[in-house]
Amino acid sequence: LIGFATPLWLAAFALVPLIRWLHRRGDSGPPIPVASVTLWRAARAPTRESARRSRTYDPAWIRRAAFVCALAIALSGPQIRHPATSVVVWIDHSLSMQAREGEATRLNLALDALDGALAERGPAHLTLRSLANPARVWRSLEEARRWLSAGTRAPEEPDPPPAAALPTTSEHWIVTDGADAALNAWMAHSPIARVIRVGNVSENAAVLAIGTRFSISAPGRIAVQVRLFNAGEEPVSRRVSLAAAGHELAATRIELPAGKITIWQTEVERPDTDMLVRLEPRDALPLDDELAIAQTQYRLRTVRVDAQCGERVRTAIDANPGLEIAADSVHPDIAFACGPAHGLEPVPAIVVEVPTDATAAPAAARWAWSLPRRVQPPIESAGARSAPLPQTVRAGDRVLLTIGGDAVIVRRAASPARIDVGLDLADPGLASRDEFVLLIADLAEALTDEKILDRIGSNERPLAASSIRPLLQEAMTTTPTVARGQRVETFTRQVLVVALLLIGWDLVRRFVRWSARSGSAAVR
Amino acid sequence: MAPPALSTALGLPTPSELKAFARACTKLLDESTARGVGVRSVRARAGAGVQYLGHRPYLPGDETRHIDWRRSGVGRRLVVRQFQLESSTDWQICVDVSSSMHTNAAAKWRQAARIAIACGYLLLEAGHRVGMLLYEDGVVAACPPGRGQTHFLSLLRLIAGHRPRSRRAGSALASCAERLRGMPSALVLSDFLSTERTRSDLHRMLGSCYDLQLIQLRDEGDATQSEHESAELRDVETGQTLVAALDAAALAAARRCLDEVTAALSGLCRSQCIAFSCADARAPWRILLYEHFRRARMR
Repeated sequence: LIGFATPLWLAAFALVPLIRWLHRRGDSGPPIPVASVTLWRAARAPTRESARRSRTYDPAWIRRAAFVCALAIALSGPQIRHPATSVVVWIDHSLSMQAREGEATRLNLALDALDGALAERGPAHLTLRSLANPARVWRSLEEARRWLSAGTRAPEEPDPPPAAALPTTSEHWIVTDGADAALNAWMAHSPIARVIRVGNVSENAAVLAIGTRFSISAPGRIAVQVRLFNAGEEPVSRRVSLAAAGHELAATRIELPAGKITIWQTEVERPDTDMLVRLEPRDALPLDDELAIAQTQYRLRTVRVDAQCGERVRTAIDANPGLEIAADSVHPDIAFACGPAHGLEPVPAIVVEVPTDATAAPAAARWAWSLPRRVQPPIESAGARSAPLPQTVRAGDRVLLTIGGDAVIVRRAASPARIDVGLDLADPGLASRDEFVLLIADLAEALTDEKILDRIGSNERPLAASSIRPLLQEAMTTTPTVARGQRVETFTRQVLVVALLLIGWDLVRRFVRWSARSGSAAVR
Repeated sequence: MAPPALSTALGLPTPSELKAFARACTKLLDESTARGVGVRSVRARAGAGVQYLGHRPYLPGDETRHIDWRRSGVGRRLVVRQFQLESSTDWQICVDVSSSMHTNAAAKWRQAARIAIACGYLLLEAGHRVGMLLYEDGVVAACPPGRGQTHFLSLLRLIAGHRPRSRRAGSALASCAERLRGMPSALVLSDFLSTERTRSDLHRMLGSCYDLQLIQLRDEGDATQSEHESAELRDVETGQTLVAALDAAALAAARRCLDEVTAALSGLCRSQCIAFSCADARAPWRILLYEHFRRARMR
């Protein structure tokens, strides 16, 4: 098929009559040179009609009109479109494609529809690609069906490539349910030749997120927040339950208004296993009716405390809702050692070297650590029994506290992690203050690089993933002819060369004429 | 004589043609008739003495020193003395190179070149000094009078090295008059289509030389055009334009007009005792030139 990329330029053809008109030579044609017009004085003047009939045009108009036409064609981007011989099918295997439409899932229905469409189209080189990961390629429909129907495959949300990156030499099809607005917007700007859309169900309620937090008021309990979303168009009622190891911890019935997010909060005993939130009864998309949170999100970190550290340290650890003193039989997460650091277990450790020097003169303490001001223990006014013990700082170490220019608390660049403390933590002047609990908590957090005191655990899924209502209009599923895959061969350059040759020819003619006139003038 | 390269450029006569023609025309150039008024010989040649020839009535423009007062008193009317011309004299050949000579494939120009070269050869062979002027709006090229074969080559180069401009080159014969001071004889080759100034130009030429001869180069193509319902005619010399219907009547009128120009020029020459010939641009130059010299001798 012959076509033009920007056919508007072809309107320049309308200039051709204008060019011819501009090259008219008057009513009498080109002047005829004669030796003397005196000889012709007796000739009668021509009539108006005969003058019009004998009107002539400068032949150069043909050359110039051809130049304008060639230029217009070149600017309009002449091209020949060859139909594509290969088909690339983009498969949407997001969560919404797992919605059940009767007995089958949308994905299965879509693959069946694709099978029929391919048979209808005829033979073509087929490539199937994942919309979630364009690098994932299946060479046949059966291979794609096997891979997608494997029970261990989790749905993946679409992450399509840039529309401009799609090769135009192939015909692009897409298999989707049209429930993803972002994907629909991508399709609108992509050279998609065919959209195979499946799915009609729109009602779906989903667990969007579950979050946990240690209860401050009741040690041993956790506060749970569940976020629920009704992606359908009608309000529904659901029973939401929280369970761990098959044992229901809490449950309630809740009304979910259409298109709204509803939050359910409860407080339960901290279980030792993963927790699962479930909505009942199940709907078209059962995969998003439940959501689990791993026990690691709300598990207490165990600390083994050296006996030399004193009761104050144990108390501070007990007071921290995210920490617990490890039993002897338990492998601890953190070790707290006071005195010589011998026989430490290979775990992250806080090692306190108790200073033995005489009482130190007061010196300015400087926290190099990002502790809030109100939390920083007033080291300089503590009336310490002994002077702080300076720590040597090696390459890669991070100094957390300096007193009088000496590093006192240093996080070592070691594995497992280790913090060396040159303060006497048993010093009543320091340990009796309320901020001491925070100091211990911050040391533990600095050691593990995670929040311990106010740890929030969560698991969530994107809101759009639960929306299964098809947004794509039915009309858009028809094949847009302009987007058919094709190999385009352009001729802009060739036509431009022709245009340049024409104008060059014209310029040469003009130059030759000009030089001939100049030559005759020179003879004079 | 004429180098072949130069001779063939304009279709000029070959040396053998010129020699043959010179032999045939020797008698015609034998100077024994009175062709000038009061011209005295400057040099005598054997067999052709210099002497008083006779009288004739005074004409306006004659020099008063040649008036024979005694004879005038007897006859009660002014008469001037005539002398036999010297056998060797100076000739100036004036060739029109205006744009009108360039029309119709420059047929008139080529014919003028042939005649000028043949004439120059002939006169040089007869022992005269010959010069040449090419003129349009003014004299554009000139060869001072001279003698001998070397000088003939100069004339030949002058003609062969020139080509009339295709347009905007007028025809001012009067511009040659200044160069003719003291020249006894002049031959003008032109189409004489600038009718409005022909009379005045000839009078100026007559005032500058004693013997004037004209050869009008006529081309029927000047009055011939293919028929057009409407055509714009442009005068190649003046640039004047005329829009006309070129039908049979217009062509006939143009031919008539061309005849009238020739007739008027012929009448003017007759009245002024000027030797005149009308030469067709495509006719053989030998016949034209022979007839012209014969006519000039019989004048």
